[in-house]
Amino acid sequence: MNPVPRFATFANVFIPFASLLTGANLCAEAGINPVPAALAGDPHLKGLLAGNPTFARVMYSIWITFLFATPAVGLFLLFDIRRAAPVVHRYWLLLWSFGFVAYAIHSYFATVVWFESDFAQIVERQSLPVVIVNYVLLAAWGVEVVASVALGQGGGGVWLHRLQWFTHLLFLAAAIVAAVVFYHSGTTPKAGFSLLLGVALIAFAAFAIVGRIFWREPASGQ
Amino acid sequence: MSLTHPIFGIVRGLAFVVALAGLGLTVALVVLERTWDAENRPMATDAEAFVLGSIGTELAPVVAFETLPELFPDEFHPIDAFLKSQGVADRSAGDWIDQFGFIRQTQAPNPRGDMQLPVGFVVSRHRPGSGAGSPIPFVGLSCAACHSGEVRLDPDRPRTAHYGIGNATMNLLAFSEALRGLLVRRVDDSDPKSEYRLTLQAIVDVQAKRGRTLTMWEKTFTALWIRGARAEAGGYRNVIDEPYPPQRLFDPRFMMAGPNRTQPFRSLVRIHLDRPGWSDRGHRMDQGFSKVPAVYHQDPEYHGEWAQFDGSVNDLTARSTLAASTAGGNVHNLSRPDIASHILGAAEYTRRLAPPKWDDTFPEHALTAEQRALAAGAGAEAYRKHCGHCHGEPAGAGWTWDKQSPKNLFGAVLPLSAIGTDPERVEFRHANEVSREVAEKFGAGFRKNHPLATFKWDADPSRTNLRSTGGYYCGPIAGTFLRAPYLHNASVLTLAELVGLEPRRAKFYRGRNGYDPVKVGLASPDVPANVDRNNPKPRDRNHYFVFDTAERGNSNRGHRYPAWGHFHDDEPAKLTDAQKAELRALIEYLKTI
Repeated sequence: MNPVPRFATFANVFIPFASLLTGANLCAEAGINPVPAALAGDPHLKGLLAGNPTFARVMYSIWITFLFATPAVGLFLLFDIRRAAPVVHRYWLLLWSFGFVAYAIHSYFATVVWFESDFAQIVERQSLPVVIVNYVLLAAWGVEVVASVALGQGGGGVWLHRLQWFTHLLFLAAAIVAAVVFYHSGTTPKAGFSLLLGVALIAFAAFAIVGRIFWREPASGQ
Repeated sequence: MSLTHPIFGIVRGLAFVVALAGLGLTVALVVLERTWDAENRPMATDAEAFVLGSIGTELAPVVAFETLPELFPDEFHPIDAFLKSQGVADRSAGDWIDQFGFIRQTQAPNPRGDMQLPVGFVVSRHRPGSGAGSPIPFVGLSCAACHSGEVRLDPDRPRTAHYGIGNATMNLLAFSEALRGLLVRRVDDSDPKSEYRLTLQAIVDVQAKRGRTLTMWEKTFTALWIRGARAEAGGYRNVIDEPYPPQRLFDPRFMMAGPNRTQPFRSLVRIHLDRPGWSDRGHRMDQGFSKVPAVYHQDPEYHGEWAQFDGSVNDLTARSTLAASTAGGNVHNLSRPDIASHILGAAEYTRRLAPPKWDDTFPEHALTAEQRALAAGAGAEAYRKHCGHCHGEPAGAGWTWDKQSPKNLFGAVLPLSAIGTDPERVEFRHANEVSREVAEKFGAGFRKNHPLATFKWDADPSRTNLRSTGGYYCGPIAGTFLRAPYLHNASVLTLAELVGLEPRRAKFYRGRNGYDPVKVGLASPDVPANVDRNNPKPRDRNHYFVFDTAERGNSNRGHRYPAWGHFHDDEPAKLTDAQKAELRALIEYLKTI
């Protein structure tokens, strides 16, 4: 089997990432709700009179985080990523890394632009446990991505693998709680879309776990 | 063709370049957007904040607003359209500034030579709604748009305006209805499927005729504004109805508020509860008209704890924020540092703002020594006897009240049964709900330490700063002679009628009324017997709005002090000479405070 060229793999993940981020920013700027009308149920495109573009960026960037991290979590749970085929590892790492980039962008717009780095206000609005989880995830995810990229597949030993498990499970738990519990009562299209992303994440994770348990050779991905 | 075919590599490479470029543009846009806000700086002084500061009420891009009178001549000449529809031949009522009753920049106390827009119209780099930075300027409003007035002795002879009084000629609701209407107006009014009249191309064409070519940003943001504003107008249409056509904008059968008045609670219910604003007295729309008030002496030291005609708000900042919210302010745009500072600055400006003196306002009618003596003697005594325990009294440049007097009612809310004025303003549906919603929306919406985060609601009246009172507030009346027409619904034209020296007119004309320095208030020609609320035929371009006090929300009853001046609802009191003299002295006194 021919190895997948590095540029092709990178481009396959980067192109949708860059396109989605560009589209999300333009939608936020122009006040366009990117959720399709069928999902949104809102025929009005309020343009400049729509909600705050900064808040839209906060929301759309977390959606992009979900879109990239969800398949990464699925791959991570399905395979032993240390021993998986290089192509699996590469896609996992790219998806997980761009998911992190989206999450970092989300955190920047939320913390620095929306809350103007007013941490007391962030704690007031989000509660201390949520704030701690958010920033621990940001830090751990960042360290893990840098280490995973730098050390390559199988590098870093046990500590990196434990860190990978920690960040994936923390993301999974935090994302499910955020999407399913926090938005559970939401009736707006945006809340509905967040719920959908949460459900998709649960489905991916459940499928991967079931696959890992019952699939005889999940670790290699061959 | 296999996935390893070179064509896929080429396509992937091109897509990569495009995606990279898109990402680069995204970063550039985010960085650029931060520079758009650079021009949105707080005003240097509180007075400037009141007159020149945006309060989150951006209406339209400047490039679009400039073209509207040309694109929509009917909407921007609604008095002419109304006169024509009623067969009244008269000269034009002027340009749109005259017709909607705004104050021309040349009449401002400190005119801005670089500004063509009326007093209280501002230009900012904020987008409507979010208040986010904009690469192109937008036209918006400041506090001065409503709270400035020009008091003309002769309707056709302009005079210098004053800051702080309610604009007696401005028809804000007609103006906003006109703006809403032009967004949804079609090229062919009879064909709802025809093209909209307001398009980017139409704006571009009008500007091109003036030799102006729109920039890429102007085109982009104008197109986005049109789409957003039209969507919002559509949402409004679902709650209220189709906007009225131009010939109905000044017809009191349709736009019933008329000059100088708004429907504040209908606006609050519509904006904050997204409901149409019905009366609590039956199956009918709320007609709680409210005069645009004077905003002198707003500090609690002068004004008492509560404010608004019904005493429903007790915090000066909350009051200003609430006023801005009825004209487009929301937690997003009001959170912007410069807009928040304008709200605070304007509120601060009104704390101790005092009215001009009678002699400075009308030097040609300066008080004689005899009038001054009458005012200081019998007039002051009559005021203390009949007015002072509710309205307090002047104290230097400020205001005060007798806090020790058992008769003192200053700062209290008089129930409807006691004061007897028109009830519509305080009997609207969802009164408590809207107070709570507003307080919670602004309370939760602003950051904890944000200077405008002063709203709090509690069922306990002692712990809330928004409440529904069901009555009217006894507050200060500095600059009484500039507060005409009188009562909260502007239903009494002169002080002579208010105190009972003259019978209160059942019908009169509103528009650009002249000032009556004898009866102290607005002058109006008599209204013919066959003209009333069902046949509100305009008289001329200055007297077009027939104010019929028989209309719901327009009642001129109540506030009958002294009681002997008003012994019967429909028949004026038969006053003795001594009583007449006392009332004349009272009016002289009221000119001086």
